[in-house]
Amino acid sequence: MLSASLRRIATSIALSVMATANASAQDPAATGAASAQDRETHWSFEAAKRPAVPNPESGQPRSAIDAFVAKRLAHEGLTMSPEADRRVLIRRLFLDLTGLPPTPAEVATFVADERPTAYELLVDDLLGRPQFGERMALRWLDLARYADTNGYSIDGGRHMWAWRDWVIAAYNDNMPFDQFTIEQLAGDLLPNATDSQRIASGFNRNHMNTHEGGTILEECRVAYVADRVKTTAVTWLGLTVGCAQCHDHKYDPISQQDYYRFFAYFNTITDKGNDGNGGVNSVPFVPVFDTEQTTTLRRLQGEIAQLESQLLAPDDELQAAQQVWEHEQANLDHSEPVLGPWRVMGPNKAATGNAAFATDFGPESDLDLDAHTADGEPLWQLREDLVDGKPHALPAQRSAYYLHRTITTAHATSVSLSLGSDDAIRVWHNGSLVVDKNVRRGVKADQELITLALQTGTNQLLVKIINDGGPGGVYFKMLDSGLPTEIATAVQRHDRDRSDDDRAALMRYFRLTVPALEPVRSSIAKLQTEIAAIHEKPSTTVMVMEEQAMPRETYFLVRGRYDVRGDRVTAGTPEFLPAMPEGAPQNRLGLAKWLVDPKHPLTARVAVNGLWQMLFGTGIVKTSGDFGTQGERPSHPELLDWLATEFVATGWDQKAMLRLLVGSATYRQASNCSTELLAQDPENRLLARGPSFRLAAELIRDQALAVSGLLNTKLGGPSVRPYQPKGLWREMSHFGSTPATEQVYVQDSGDKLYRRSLYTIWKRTVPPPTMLAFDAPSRELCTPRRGRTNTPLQALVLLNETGFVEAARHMGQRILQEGGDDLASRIDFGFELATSRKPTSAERDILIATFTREHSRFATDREAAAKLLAIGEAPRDEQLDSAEHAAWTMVASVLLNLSETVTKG
Amino acid sequence: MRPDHEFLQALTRRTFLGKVAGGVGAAALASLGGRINNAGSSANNSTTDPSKVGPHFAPKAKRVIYLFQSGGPSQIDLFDYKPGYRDLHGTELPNSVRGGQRVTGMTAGQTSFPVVAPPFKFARHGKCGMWASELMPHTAGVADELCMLKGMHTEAINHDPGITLINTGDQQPGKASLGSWLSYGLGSENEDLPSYVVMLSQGTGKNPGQPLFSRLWGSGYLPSNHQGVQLRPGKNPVLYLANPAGITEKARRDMLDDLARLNELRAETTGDPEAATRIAQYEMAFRMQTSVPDLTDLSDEPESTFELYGPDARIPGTYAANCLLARRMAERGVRFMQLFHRGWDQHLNLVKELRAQSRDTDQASAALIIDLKRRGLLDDTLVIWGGEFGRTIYSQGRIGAPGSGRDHHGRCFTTWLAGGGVKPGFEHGTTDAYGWNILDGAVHIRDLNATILHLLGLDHERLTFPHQGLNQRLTGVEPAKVVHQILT
Repeated sequence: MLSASLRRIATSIALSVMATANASAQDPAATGAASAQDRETHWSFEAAKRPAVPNPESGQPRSAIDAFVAKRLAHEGLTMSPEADRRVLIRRLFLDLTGLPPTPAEVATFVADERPTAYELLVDDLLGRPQFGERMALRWLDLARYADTNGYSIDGGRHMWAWRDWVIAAYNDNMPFDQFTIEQLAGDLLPNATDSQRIASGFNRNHMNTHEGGTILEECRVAYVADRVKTTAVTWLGLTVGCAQCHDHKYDPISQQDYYRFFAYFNTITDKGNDGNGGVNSVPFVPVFDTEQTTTLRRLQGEIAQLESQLLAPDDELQAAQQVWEHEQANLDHSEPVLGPWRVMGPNKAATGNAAFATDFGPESDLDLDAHTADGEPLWQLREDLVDGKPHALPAQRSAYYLHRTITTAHATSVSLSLGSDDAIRVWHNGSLVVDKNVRRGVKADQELITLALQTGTNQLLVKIINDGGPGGVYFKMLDSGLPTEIATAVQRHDRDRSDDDRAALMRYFRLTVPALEPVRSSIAKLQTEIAAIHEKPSTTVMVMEEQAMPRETYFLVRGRYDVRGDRVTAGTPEFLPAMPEGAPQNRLGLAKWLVDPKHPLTARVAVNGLWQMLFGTGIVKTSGDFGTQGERPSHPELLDWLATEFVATGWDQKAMLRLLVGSATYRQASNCSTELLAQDPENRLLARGPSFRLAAELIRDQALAVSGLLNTKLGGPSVRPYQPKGLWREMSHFGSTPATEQVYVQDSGDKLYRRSLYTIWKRTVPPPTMLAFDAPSRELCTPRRGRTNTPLQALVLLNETGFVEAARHMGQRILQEGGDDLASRIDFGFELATSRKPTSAERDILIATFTREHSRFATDREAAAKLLAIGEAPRDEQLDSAEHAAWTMVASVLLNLSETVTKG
Repeated sequence: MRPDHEFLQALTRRTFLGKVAGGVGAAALASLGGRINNAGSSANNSTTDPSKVGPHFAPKAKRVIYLFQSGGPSQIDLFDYKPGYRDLHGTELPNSVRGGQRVTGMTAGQTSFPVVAPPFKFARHGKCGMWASELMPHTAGVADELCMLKGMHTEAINHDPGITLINTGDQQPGKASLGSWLSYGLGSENEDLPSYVVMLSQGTGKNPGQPLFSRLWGSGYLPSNHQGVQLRPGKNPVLYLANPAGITEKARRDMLDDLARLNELRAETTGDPEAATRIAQYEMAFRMQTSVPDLTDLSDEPESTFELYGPDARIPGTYAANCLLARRMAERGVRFMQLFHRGWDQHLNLVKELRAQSRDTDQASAALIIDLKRRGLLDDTLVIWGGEFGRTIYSQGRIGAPGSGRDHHGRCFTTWLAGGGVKPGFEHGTTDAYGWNILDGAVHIRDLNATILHLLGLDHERLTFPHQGLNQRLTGVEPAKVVHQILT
């Protein structure tokens, strides 16, 4: 029951709050949405100008931040609160910068640290910890709509954790925000893109996708592109452009034309409308190798390099043999084989891609180029337009095409071919199957590299391209035959006419073919097989961005309908924002560079506002995903501009910005709040007190794991499956499918149960219930800001969920083992674990009573104690008396449920 | 985002704490469904813009039971009958009728679209003479209570976008569900139960049926305390409801008292209003530990109840058991009860599967109406039966083959309503001779949603929430209209 004193507080809060509401009914710091007139000169569309830092009226502010905050407070007749207690500060810093609470030892060290720079040193320590990256990733995963399943329809599994690991590493390496932006939006387009940069581009593949049977591919693909547009705009521009998909934006100056120009940047990816079945990533994706594989690959490549230098080492005997060989070759016919024209038969329709792959529509068993339909139409069409060396489109439908040509040679020789296909491919040479690949992919050069031994005369080449929906395509090029052209030319030159390059090429070719060096070459081949084997089984794959070889054209879509096309549009940035930098390419890379142009009015403001929101609970612009005219205006416009310009001036250094923010007196204030102040500024927008609000879902669980001693601090890797009530997935999913498609929840055991919550598997249609209860989003869409509700379901999670009960049990054990010998010291130890402070005597008395009562209860009911202590998989110290342990479990549960524990103070 | 919005919400919540006698109950309630209807209105006048939260006018219904039939039940084989189908059987669906309607990827490759007459017997029922299939004998028995909408239509032709559209007003995820709008707009009438409760069941016709998504009862951009709370069979009807093994109700009570005293001490030092709210949440959680098992414990139901709802009603997690629970929640003042029954997706084996799906649901659906009426609850409870779209008159697969069925059809389908403010024994809308196009009485699912809100006293154009630069509403930006013809 509610005590009289509490009721008194609550009543006074409510009454005073009401009084204010009647007076203004407005948040005092907010200035409301913009009026229609100021659309032209909306504040956030103008470049941030570096404002002068106000002179403090009294005292020396810690930083420019404080000067701006103090000025506003003075205007309201308020002042800052004093600095918070060190125990409050260390807990605040730990939770904000690592997402975990400090240990009692860390608290004691900091409290006793008399160095004037103790605070700054602590901040540096925390910014350098690997947990920093995990903590920072939380908001980024919300923005990026990161999840482990596809989201639509049966919500099958996908693999994006390598991208998540990239984010954590990027934060830990303090990657500058401009680079962080460029790599995620266009890492694949960077010159000589590294594996890591390609993985980074997975940011815009985190959107949902479907493989629902009846899907209309283009409708879905357009939805994916629209999601990339929406997410990119909210994340970097803080703009809601989605409305302009169907009509000009009602409030912001974004026309529908602007929208489709922006859309064009993301519309030329090799992805498909319907893909990602069976737990396999949807195309395009790249292999990712784990540390062990990467080390092995590096070793193998080193060994190959060594053998190759051995292969080319000077050797008199071989040199003599080479001269003999050159003489022989000089007299041979090296004429190139001649390719006949392509003839094409198709489409041969089938219900599925697999059926099209497996079915022989005739030519496979009986190649008859003169075959006719019943109506007398020839089945094979001459296709001289299929020029070699570039990809060609085949119509989009589930079907197979046959392509045939002859290869004629005057002498027996071999020929190397490069082929590409969208999707699957089979190739026959003179009736023998030489390529047999049932894959799903976009067409590119060099997807299949084969060498054929040609017979003298005419050879038959038959290619079957199987398309499983979406665009189809084929690529073909003859690379070389017999002696490569340059070798054939060089060998027929007289030695005195040969260039150095000729000589080097001849030597290399000879060494690569001479029988005497076969042992070295076979060693190389063996190593290459080992490399190929690793490539066959990468640790994981990750979806990435990849441009089409034949870029799709973008059209204005009338009313946003995928099937009603207007005029063709080209990629470009919205007209009301600054132009692209000189010389930037008109593609995603150019777009990314445009976003991080120092003169861009939005990117830096939006980014620092996001950091502010993480620390202070609310951004300087509260609507952190909407800086447009319908968004809220900044509470401290000059401060926002000062921070934005500072961020750019310091090279987009994210750790430096955080150091600045947490170093301010504004951040370091005590959060205690008088009734009057609460009434005047219930959301603390004026910042007359320190930030205090309920922890995010992940932090609440991670903290329980940490203070109980269960936390597994392993960094990165695949997602894990902690405790979850039985049947939650099953009752909603397509449980006829295999576990690989994430239809069935198979709980992990052992130390995977105790990983940090950002590694918990995220199924979009059934998000982790302990996270959802505390306002985590579903991750279906980009979420710039979470709500902070307060519900009884949260109480039920903290009181009864297996993981939290187990944490309480383990924490109880820890209290018994590490908390000293007497009741009071044990209470103090446990209390400090949870809150980083010692209890008051009143608090201690309550908890002593809790323990005493529970102890006597469990002492008379050992069976109940045993049941409670059996919850969760973590082993228990059987030496501990069960009644005592169970009673401490109850005390620990009280501590984990304290309002203070789930709040950043 | 309106600047004062969240502040006002917080304010409303705190106002309860101070104003309402007993304090905590009301405050906790505010957290799982907005606010109390009666007590809320006084606080409302001084603090909240009346255009924001309802009711906007006197409601005809106080609560809704939505019997959602997931997968797309075949209106052709259940309710939208014409004797003329027999004559058209086996003939090709004319292109002039098909009218370029896009079809799903599943029958897009079919070259022939032969009409299949329903392979079931039909008869007229009740004083109103409504057609119903032999598969729905019990529903037919309450024909005079039903308001049959035969002109329902939607743009969606696949499950995910279709079911998302009808439940949240948009084919793409991210919007707030109908139930969460009602919770936001009207709050709850019960201190001890959530205002929006969801129950799932799996049919025996097609198993597994199409998947469901938590977004269908999610709160989208609305505060997350308005999302539907799932009521599940078993020991924990609400997730994590039961105390851990070894902890008795008494031990929990003692522990919560200690917790409250500690939070209280802290609140006095810090002035943190959240601490006070949190105490109230724990109190509601504790009461739910009693109120929810009371709700789900059917041992106080007489034998006649199970005769009425059928023997399945004794098996937790079945559609019949969920219908009975819905009636028990209606009695307790839950605002919105939504059942999702899976398996109505008869592409294949229609004859066998549809028979099973109907058998799962028919008796209990009808029983619910009879039961509500007997208890005087039907007048102010709106019951809705329907799915996300209908099915084609043409055959998917070779005509007459035992494995054949019907593809999705969005151009017309049938939904029925009963109770709270709709005309009983009434039919609205007619379709053409092929059951393909609507001739009159078209009701888009936006119109249905506008009508549901209207019956609950809410104007769909005024029930809005600012998000991402737009005043969002359930019916979206396209025009929607209340179907006045069906209202009493």
